[in-house]
Amino acid sequence: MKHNTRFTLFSHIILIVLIGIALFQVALLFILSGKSAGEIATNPMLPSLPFRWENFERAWDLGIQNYMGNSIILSLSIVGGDILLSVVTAYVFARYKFPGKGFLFGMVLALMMVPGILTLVPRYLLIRDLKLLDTFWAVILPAVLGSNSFQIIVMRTFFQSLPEELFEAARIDGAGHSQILFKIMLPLSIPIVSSMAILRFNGAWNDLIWPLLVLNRDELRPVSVGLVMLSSGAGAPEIGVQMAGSVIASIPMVVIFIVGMRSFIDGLSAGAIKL
Amino acid sequence: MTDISASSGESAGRSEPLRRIHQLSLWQRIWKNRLLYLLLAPTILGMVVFQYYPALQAFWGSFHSWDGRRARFIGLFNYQFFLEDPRLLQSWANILLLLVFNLISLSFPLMVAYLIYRLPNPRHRYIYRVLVVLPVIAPGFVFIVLWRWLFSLDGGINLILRTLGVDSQVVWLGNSNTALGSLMFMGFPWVEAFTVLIFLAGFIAIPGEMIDAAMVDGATGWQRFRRIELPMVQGQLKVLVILTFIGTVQDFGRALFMTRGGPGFSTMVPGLRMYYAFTQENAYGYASAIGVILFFVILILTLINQRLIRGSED
Repeated sequence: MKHNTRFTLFSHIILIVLIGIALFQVALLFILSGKSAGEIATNPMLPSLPFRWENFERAWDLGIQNYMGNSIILSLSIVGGDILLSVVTAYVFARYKFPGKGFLFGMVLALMMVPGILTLVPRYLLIRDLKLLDTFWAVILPAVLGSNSFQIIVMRTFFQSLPEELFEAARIDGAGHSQILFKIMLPLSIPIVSSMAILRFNGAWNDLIWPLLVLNRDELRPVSVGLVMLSSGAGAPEIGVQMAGSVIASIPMVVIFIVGMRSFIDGLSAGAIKL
Repeated sequence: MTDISASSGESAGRSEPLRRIHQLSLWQRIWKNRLLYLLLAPTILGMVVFQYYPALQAFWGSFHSWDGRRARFIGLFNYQFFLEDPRLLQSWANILLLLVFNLISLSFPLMVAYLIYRLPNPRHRYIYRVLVVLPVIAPGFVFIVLWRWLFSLDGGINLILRTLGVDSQVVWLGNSNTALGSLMFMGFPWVEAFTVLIFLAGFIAIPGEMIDAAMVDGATGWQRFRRIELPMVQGQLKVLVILTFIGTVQDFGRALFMTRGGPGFSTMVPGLRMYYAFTQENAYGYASAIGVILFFVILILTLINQRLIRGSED
């Protein structure tokens, strides 16, 4: 048993050091956001007073305000559309037999092997030809339509594991698809569906290259593009202001963490993801 | 033949409704399920329009000189041009280094997940699990901004070194000896929440009896890990290795926003070459050819991975 206590102590040390370094980087964003350039030069890593809230005002006025609004509209539209379509698709594939099912599901699976980099150029041209450049649709449509293979596969696996008797009883009682989906399936699938929703939100919020390509007008840009552009080049504001912008850009994920992280962790821990 | 099936269909139709369903023609079965097809239509059509069509067009475009409006067939010239590009060798070497490095760095989340799983106190396990996930509150692009500053001349890393008494004047991203290493170091200690949680889920799913049996047989801690626990998370490992392949081969965001591929070609990767061909040179056919090559690289790596990890199971 002595060996085990030593192993546990060793585990605690490694975990605290590694996770601590990761967490310190997040803390550093906040620490730096409260400093002036001079304070950063003399004391870059530790918090100092007074906390310079004016950095936040400055960042907000430099366009972060507008970028945040854009990001929220884009990300919520993408999550809503994607999850709705993924749930419906996964439901059909999980619970029904019909001609062509194998082929159609194969189409979903095969897309896991089609990397974004292969389709990048033609997708851009498609958006251009649809006259959607410099509109929010340029970001929303390709994100909602056709890029949800992963979510469909994970949710289908989970939906298949639910007992068939539930569905049969509902069908005998004359329930339609929407009732079966929203009254039986979804309440039982909250952890997995919300995990997928959180992952999708995080992905949409983080997306950088695609919006940079299709949104040229500054007033349409999401905060990912806006912040990275703002901090590039000679005219960039001082580090404290850049970090204040970074902290503002983190707020939505903080909210999601507080509200939904428990079900997120439980969903991913359910072990649905393996080959 | 037709007689028999027709008559049996009719007689069975009255007594056994289930048998009749099996004898509906293909079209009747499709019509019967029309609502299901309607429910699938947005996803499937979306995939055709925004994935399959662009993928095919990329293949088509790779054989053409193409400015996005007019295209002229030039055979394999784009491929030849890419393979003869002097910048190419460096960019493949870089991607290979990044790939090896990213695969090795998977051992960090693996270790963190394993250590959490082995903790005896469930309360501690839960706390660490939350702490591992906590950094997701800061979006990835924020770390581009942070690490650009950390690596700069008067940035965090040099400031720390100077307080430690080393007069460091290294511009980490602006020096061809340190740029690629710096890009790899970014994100240290690489304990990404998603990866840790997936490994952890795998470890937790291992049946307790299996471990007990091994311990009774006198397995050491290392044997227990190597012979039982590691093989039991092979499914998860396989997924994460594939995701690492796909992510690394395609990724050019870091190189684009941190170093622009430089200095010189020291951090150039094929994906970034493609991006520049596309955005700066309007060479859409050439960019498509690079996309196609990267697609095959990912495909081959994935197939090798399937073989290798399955092979080690025996």
